[in-house]
Amino acid sequence: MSGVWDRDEAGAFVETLFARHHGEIYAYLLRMLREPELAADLAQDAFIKAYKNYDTLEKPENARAWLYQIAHRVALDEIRRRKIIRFFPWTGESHGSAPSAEHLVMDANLSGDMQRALAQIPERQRAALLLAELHDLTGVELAAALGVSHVAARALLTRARQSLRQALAAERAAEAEAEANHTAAHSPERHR
Amino acid sequence: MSRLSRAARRRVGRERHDWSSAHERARLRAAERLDTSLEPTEAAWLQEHLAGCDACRSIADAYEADRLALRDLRGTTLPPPRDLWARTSAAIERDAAAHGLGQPGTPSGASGRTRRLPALGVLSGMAVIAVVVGISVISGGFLGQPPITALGQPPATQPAVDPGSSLPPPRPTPIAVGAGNVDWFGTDGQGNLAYSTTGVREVCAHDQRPDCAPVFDPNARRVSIDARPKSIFRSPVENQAVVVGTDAAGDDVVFVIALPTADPTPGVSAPPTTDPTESATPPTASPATQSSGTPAPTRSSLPSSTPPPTPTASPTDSPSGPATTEPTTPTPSSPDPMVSPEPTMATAVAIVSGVRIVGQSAAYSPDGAWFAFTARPSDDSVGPDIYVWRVGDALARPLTTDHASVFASWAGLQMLGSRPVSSDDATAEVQSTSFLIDPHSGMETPLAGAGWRPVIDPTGQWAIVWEGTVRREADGLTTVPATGALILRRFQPTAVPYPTDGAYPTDVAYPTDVVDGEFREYDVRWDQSGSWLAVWLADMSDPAIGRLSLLHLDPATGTLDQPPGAPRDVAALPGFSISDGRIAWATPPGQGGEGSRIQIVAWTADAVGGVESVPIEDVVVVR
Repeated sequence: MSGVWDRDEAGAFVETLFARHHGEIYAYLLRMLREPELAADLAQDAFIKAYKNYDTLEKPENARAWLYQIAHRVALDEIRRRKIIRFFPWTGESHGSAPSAEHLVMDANLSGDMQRALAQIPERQRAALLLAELHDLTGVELAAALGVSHVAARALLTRARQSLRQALAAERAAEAEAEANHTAAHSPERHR
Repeated sequence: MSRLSRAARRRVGRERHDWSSAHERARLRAAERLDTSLEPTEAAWLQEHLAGCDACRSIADAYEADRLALRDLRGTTLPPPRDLWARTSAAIERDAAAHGLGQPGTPSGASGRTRRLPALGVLSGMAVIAVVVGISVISGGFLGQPPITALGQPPATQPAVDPGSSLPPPRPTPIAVGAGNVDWFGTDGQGNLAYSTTGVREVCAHDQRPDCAPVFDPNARRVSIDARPKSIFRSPVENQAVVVGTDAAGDDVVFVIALPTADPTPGVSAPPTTDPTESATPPTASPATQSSGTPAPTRSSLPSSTPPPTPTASPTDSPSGPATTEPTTPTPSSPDPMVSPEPTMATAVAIVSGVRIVGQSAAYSPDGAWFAFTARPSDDSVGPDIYVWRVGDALARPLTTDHASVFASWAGLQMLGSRPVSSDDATAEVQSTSFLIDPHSGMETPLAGAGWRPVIDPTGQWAIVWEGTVRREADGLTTVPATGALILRRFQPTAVPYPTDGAYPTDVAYPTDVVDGEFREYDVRWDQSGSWLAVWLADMSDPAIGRLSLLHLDPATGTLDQPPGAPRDVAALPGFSISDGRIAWATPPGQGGEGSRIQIVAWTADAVGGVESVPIEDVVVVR
């Protein structure tokens, strides 16, 4: 990079970056936020930030990790904002609008115990796991994307695995309990 | 091998040797081995343990199964919306138009491609700033920099101030700044302790460090004291300092000295070539601000040199006796120092001895009337207590007697302390409590939900605090962070307790993780504005070396960011100074027997730059 922000270079750069990586960046944000429309908005934000901060990228070969770093921060900012501003789930009937096919597919994809467990672990740990296991970032790339040292990234990943194991165990125990209750509620003995 | 190299190796191979059980060790290693190769001996030990432990083997298998299940999610995402690029490019164009930077879609460049217009005029403005002449602005903007999340090693996009790091293309240097003086003690070529001070008027961008010649004090003053200084704290209102040193018996001693009064020579750089005047700052540049106003020493504020019998519980008084200061002899590493003709007499008087100073949190009160610190008896008979010395008194005195309390920071003219909740199990992780404590009476006011060792900014709005459990070290005396995080959050001492389930009141900014990774001892200090802070984390294996980072806070929003060029996780000895638009610290000694260097980073509203000193032996930065 030139070290000086040039709009022509930045425009060309972000176009190339988008063509190569927008799919995986969107997927990462979707996995972090679990809302397709929000993930699209954040992906858009991430590429705009990449455009604005194009001159901070030192080595073109680090562009992917750099872009993930931006997307990661965008995701954490959104998560933090949502913790400040409480969002209450809509519990009433939706009037005149059925769930989109997109949402139905996503709901199905996100309803597994693994997705629920992922949603329960701290977001930075979740990010580390997603980036390492699903987005194939190397150790160095992971550290850059998370904005921490290589050692810290590895430690975060270890904590994430521990958290995920516990969250999965809790999910499966709750599932088993619900299944047992359902079975008991519908058992022939109960209806006698 | 240098200490730094050893420290780096230790960091890479960081180990925990205080396992509560072999099972804990095995389960952690079972998780770690998914992402890294264990050392052969550790891998062998793990295999042996798993072979004989069904529970641990089950957990290890679960890690493997979880990993496979996680990877099964690869096909469960949705494709991005088809109009994502159209939305993105339109947003860029709207942003550009809003900033008045031209019409969207202006063709340019050799490719004739439709170009998107830049959005941040500020950024482009920053790029062409050649020399920034201005006053020290402590609440600078640095627009466009993404906020940080947590500290670690320097990410690829934000190199630390490290001459050996990967360097971006050069920008014009130097940068004129109006930063305050930097003071330090070090040993000259003859092994004599010397006091130096220098103004900081110009710095160089982090990629241009060679353009700034090393700084030094041509009027360095020799100081004679009967202890080796470890940390030095300058009064914010007087030309005196509290020195924590080690006496001949190896015990810590805390004494007060009047700092030498030789006039500092602001902005003097060591002549790199033949003309020593080339690198000197023009006299018309932004005048440096004296770091403390430096009035003449007030003799009456020093304690009596023959203190009365101590009222303290454990320490004994042993005055260090007088100290003298005189000009230094030129040293090989201090090019062409000028010698001040008149030596300055100073007095060093012990305010406490027979103790071991605990932690790095010692500090003067904002009005300079008190000095607070944590100490425990040097015989390690009991744990730490909070001590306070009223300027002018003969001795410091303990304010707590529970042998478990530590000084955290000053909150205005009140002190903040913390102590762990008592537990029957000395090794258990426990919660902690914090309290306000009046330096006059020692009266405590418990605080709800203040965490461990809250360090309050000078405006009283924000705190860096360890939120989590603490535990005792193996010595049974030292309390260290255990499980949790060092976070930034609003300081609301009268607020109701924070809920522990992760839900925070909506009127309180969600805490921001400041630090990631393991650490035990740490030191957090704010500048006077409350907009800049620095965090030093001791190395897990060698607490005599740590990592230092400089952060900028937007007090209105609680957003932390780190401007390019600000130090991030740079190796630093304990004890740094942050004030008046600059931060200064000492690097660990270099390889080949080279001494430490003082590193100074100063900032304006638009730029951050640094300069360093020549190598100095046994250097201690005056905080």
